[in-house]
Formats: sequence, structure tokens, C-alpha cells
Amino acid sequence: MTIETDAIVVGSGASATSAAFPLVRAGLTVRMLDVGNVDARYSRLIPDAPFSEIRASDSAQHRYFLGDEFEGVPFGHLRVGAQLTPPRRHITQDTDTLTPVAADNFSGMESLALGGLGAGWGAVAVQFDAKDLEGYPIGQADLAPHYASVSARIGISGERDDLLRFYGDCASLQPPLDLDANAQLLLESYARKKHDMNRRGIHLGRARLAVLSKDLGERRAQQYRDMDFYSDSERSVFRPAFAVDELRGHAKFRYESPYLVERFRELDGGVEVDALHVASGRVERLRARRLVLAAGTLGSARIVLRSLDRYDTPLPLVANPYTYVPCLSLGRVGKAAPERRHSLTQVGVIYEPPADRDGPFPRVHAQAYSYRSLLLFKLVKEAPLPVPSAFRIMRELVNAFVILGIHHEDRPSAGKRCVLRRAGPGERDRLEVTYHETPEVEARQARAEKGLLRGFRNLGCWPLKRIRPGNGASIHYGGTLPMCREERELSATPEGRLRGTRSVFVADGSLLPHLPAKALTLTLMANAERVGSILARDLTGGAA
Amino acid sequence: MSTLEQNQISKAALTAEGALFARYLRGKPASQTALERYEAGCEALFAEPPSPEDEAISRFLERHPWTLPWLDAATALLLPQALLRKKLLLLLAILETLPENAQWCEPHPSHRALVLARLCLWGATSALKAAGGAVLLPFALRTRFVGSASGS
Repeated sequence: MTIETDAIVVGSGASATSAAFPLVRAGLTVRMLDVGNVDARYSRLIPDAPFSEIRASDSAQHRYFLGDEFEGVPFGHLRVGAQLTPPRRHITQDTDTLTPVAADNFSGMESLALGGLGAGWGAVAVQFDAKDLEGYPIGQADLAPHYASVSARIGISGERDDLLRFYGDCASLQPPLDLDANAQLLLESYARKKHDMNRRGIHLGRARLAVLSKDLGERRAQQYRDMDFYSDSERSVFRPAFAVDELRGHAKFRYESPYLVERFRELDGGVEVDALHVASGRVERLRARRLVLAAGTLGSARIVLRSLDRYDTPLPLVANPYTYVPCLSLGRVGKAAPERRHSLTQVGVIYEPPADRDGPFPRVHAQAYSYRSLLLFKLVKEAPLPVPSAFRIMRELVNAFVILGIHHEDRPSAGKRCVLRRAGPGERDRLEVTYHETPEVEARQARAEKGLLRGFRNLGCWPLKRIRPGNGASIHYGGTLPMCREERELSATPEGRLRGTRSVFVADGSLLPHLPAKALTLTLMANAERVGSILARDLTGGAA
Repeated sequence: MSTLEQNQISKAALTAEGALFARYLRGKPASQTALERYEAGCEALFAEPPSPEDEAISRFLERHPWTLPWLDAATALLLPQALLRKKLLLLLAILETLPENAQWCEPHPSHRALVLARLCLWGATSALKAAGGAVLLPFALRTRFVGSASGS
């Protein structure tokens, strides 16, 4: 049997594109299969202008701020994706029908968009250190060359400050982005009280972001228009869709959509996939020497369970618990805010609480944001006050709000799992997610949060309310097909090969056995590139 | 009554409701654009028939529009998912995205003490309205029983 395609890569997100690069660079023939939804409605309406100019002049602004169907006006309790603005809504388009997830207490967000969940990435790009990688079958030395290569490719800006030893270094690091006024005050206060803060285990520094402070190729440096939640016009914030564009420049690479890969079966010398052509409804069979699954933690789990006919078999699942805390920066009350700013995180925080009588605390990672371009009515909605009073109060205080997003680590346990249930007639298989953390772990997380917030109060940032938007709200998922050294079914080798198969590799969050508190996307990309490199060497007989 | 006539009545009711809410939120009459968007927003977001509580509050407000600030304050505390509150937030979102209101939505830098004094004042008036609204709210909710008993 002759198979002309060397590798099929499933998905087009941060992991998929990172796995594809070493393959195409090795001269291999790669087909990327993706549903590839894009925003065809709003992005073309958004002017290349600063937020306040748009607010004062664009009579069509309601379309992209609120949505033509008012989908940007969220009601009800906060859930995952509350900050997905109308121009980002395509990220979750069609997932309810094509990749249904059933869960009572877990919001599992998947994406069938070009660029996957990366199309809405907050762009925090930090490395895992030795402590984060404890329990992984790979170490820092395995990831280091790939962190360097991915960082140079996507462009990362930041400072070599107090967080350097936590975030790692890279030779290509661009200068940090300009700070906004809230962040500047926070970091000044930290500098004055650094000794006390470090004694408490609190370390602050400039955000490390996949956002350009200098031009890189055809992408422009950040323009500080505060429209980053709506528009990618200057391409300063990295999106995996840009990597797809770059990959398309290689003659042996083909991006094919709208295909939803449903299952695979191994053949002699290769693998065959069933891919649903979403527009026509027909299923096509495509063959390659190797298959790389990078459809996202939940998506890849679904494909594997269906292909191996392991319906009703539980897989582990981890997801960083997430809390966000609106804080008031007292020193900024009544002050004006400079117009020039970006919308993404400004300050990074690592908290390593001192051990207490119950033992050591896991590390906590937090990010501080300012608030403006998501509009006031979303803040008003959260206040138990009459609407006009809440509006006046929020308007008065908005320049002094610091939103602290706190992530905790997550480790697998019996209460956290996902199971594929077979579809009834006319339905699609449903991924059922159960997520129950033990009360002891939740209590430890709450105590760690209190310690961190005490420190923030000391920095002049007063926490107003702790909000837990629910399990899964971090949109950081992993651990469904964990890489490990021991022979275990439904797991992967440290090289990313799915155990029990010869030709199927996994290259996304499924591989990470547990999730440290730090943002995971840069590690997903570095690890995917590592898997892609191993595969390239395998397919070229070691020449790549 | 024909469907067309019913639609015209419900459209007129929504326009009247939007005008009342806009005066309450903005302190001046709403533009035609804002009212049209409000109507479209209600159709998109609140297509389901209202709950008996929401229906009762709506009817009470039609008869006693002066109670709006009090009922808003009470529902903010006691019934945060009430349709009244959602509709007010929808109109606020619409007003916020009109260019002529850009200045209205901007914070006005001033001395910290002045800001804190204003916050205290707004907080106190909100508390008073909530207290008054908590007294009014049971009357508003009772409307549905009166309505049901009279067969409407």
C-alpha cells in the first residue's frame, strides 16, 4: 500500500501548529484537518482606531461590542467564556452540535475555530520550571530547545525581573510592553515593600506575553489601542491562525477544512481517519503514515475513545481551578487613566505560601488586569445596587479597578474524569465530564487565596469580592491521555505515541499528567513541537 | 384580535417601556435608535414568556411607573435575576454603545475625597431605595394573584 501523506495533523490550535512546524521543516508532506470556523461578520467592521475614539465616533460599534443578536450581553451566572466578545464567539461555534459535552458542574469549552482556543488566548506565555515538571516523564532539558524555538517564532515580550526564575528566560525575549497606570502603581508599591512581600512568598513582575513590543516579520508591534479583546488587526498578539498562514507557505503543507476528524484505524504502515466534511455531511477516508492528534484535551480524548471503542471508559481530567477578584487600587481612585494601553494582563504574580500546620502549599499563579474595554454594563450587572447608582459608582471607580485572576494547580483524582457515551439515533457521541475536588484541597486553595489577597491589601489593592466562576472556567484542561513511563492503557509514551498504537501520536494538553498553576499554553506549544520533532526524525529515518 | 394587532400592541408597549427605562437611566428621553435597538434586544434575549413574578412586576410598573427606582433597588438585592433588571442592563448596554453617550460613560477625574463622598451618597440613597422597594415589592408581586383571580 502506498501512502502519500506523511502526517495528518488534527486541529489548528497552538499545539497542532507547533507540532506541524518540525514536520514541514523536515520536508514531510503534512495535511492539517480542521473545521476552521472564522469570524466572517464582525472583524471587518472594527476600525483600526483606539477604543475611546471608536466609542465617540463609530455608529456601528454596537454590532461588535454587543453583537447583532446581542450575544455579547450575558445574563445569568458567570460561566466559562464570559469575556468572549462577539468577534470571538466563532471560537465556540458549532461545538454544541458537533462535539457535545455533558456536565452538571463543569464548563468544558472546546473550539472548532481556525486557531482553536488560541484564537482567544490571553497570551500569557511562561515556561514550566523543574518544580512545575515534577511527576512528568520529561524534564526541563527536554523542553528547553523547544521553549527557545517557539518563543522566537511567536515573539514574547517581558522583563528579566523578580519573576525570571519562575518564568524562565529566552534569548529572543523582546522588551516589555508599556505598563498602564494601575500596574505601574502596583509595581512601585511592590518595589517599596519587596522584602516583606517576598517573606510572605509573594513575587511580582511584568507580565510575560506572546505580544510583540517590536515588529516581527509581517506582524506589527502592539499599538496600545485597548481593542485586544475584539480585534487582531496589527497582529501583535500571537494567534495560531498566523502560524497556519506561515505553514501554508511550505509547498508540502495543506490546510483542509471544514473537516471534523471522528476516528482513526491503524493499517499496515500507516493510519486511516474518518473525517466528516462538515459542509456536505459526507465522511471521507484519508490516509497517512502517522496521525498527530491535537484537537484539544477533550477533542483528542473523544477521538481516541471512539476509535478504540472504549465507550463508557473513564479517562482522568485536570483543569486549573480559577478565581477572579476585583480589587480597588486606592491610590488610583479619582485619577485619570492614560488613553494608550493594551487590554491584556499587566502584572504577573507568583505566590508560594509558607507551609502551615497542614504542610506546604502548592504554588499559585495570578495575573493582574485593568478594566475598560469590556464596557461598564458588565460590571454594573455584578453590583447588587439600582442600575443608575451602580453605573455611576463603576464609572467613578473603573480606572482604579485591578482584576486579579488566580490559578491553582490541579492533579488527577477519582472525582475528576470524562467518559464518552455512545450516541442514540440521530445524535452525536457525548463526552460526559464529572469534576469534584476534595473539600480539603478546596479549603487549601481558599486559604492560599486569602494569604495572597492579604498581601495585595498591603500593596494598596483592596479585594472587593472573590468570584469562582465554576469548574473548567480557566479553559486550561489536560491529563486525559497522560504521558508516563509505565505501560498503562489509554496513556502516551514520553515521546507522545498513544500506547497500543504504532502510528498515532498525541500533541496537546491531553499529554500533561497534571497542571501546575502557571499558564500552560507556551508549554503546550513547546511540548507539541518536541513531539513533532521526534516524529519528524522517525519519519525521515533520523535525518531531521 | 389579529396577530398583527397583537404585535403592534406589544411593540408599542416595548417602546413605552424603553422610553421609561431610558429616562430613568440617562435622565433624558431616549433616541429613536436606542428604542429600536431595545426592542430588537428584547426580542433576541427575552423571547420566552415571562415568569409570573416578572409579569406581575411588569404590570405593576405599567400602572405605577414612579415605583421604578424602588423596584429596581429591591430586585437588585432580592431578585437579581428578575427580568426588570435584565431589561435595564440591556438598555444600559445599548446606551453605552451610542457615540453620543461616550462622554457620559467616561470617568471624571476628581479629588479622592470628593469621589468617596459621592460613593457614600449613592450608597446611602441606594440603601434607602432598596428599603422602600422591599416594602413595595410584595405589592407588585401580589398583582399576579389579583390578575389570576380576575381571570386575566
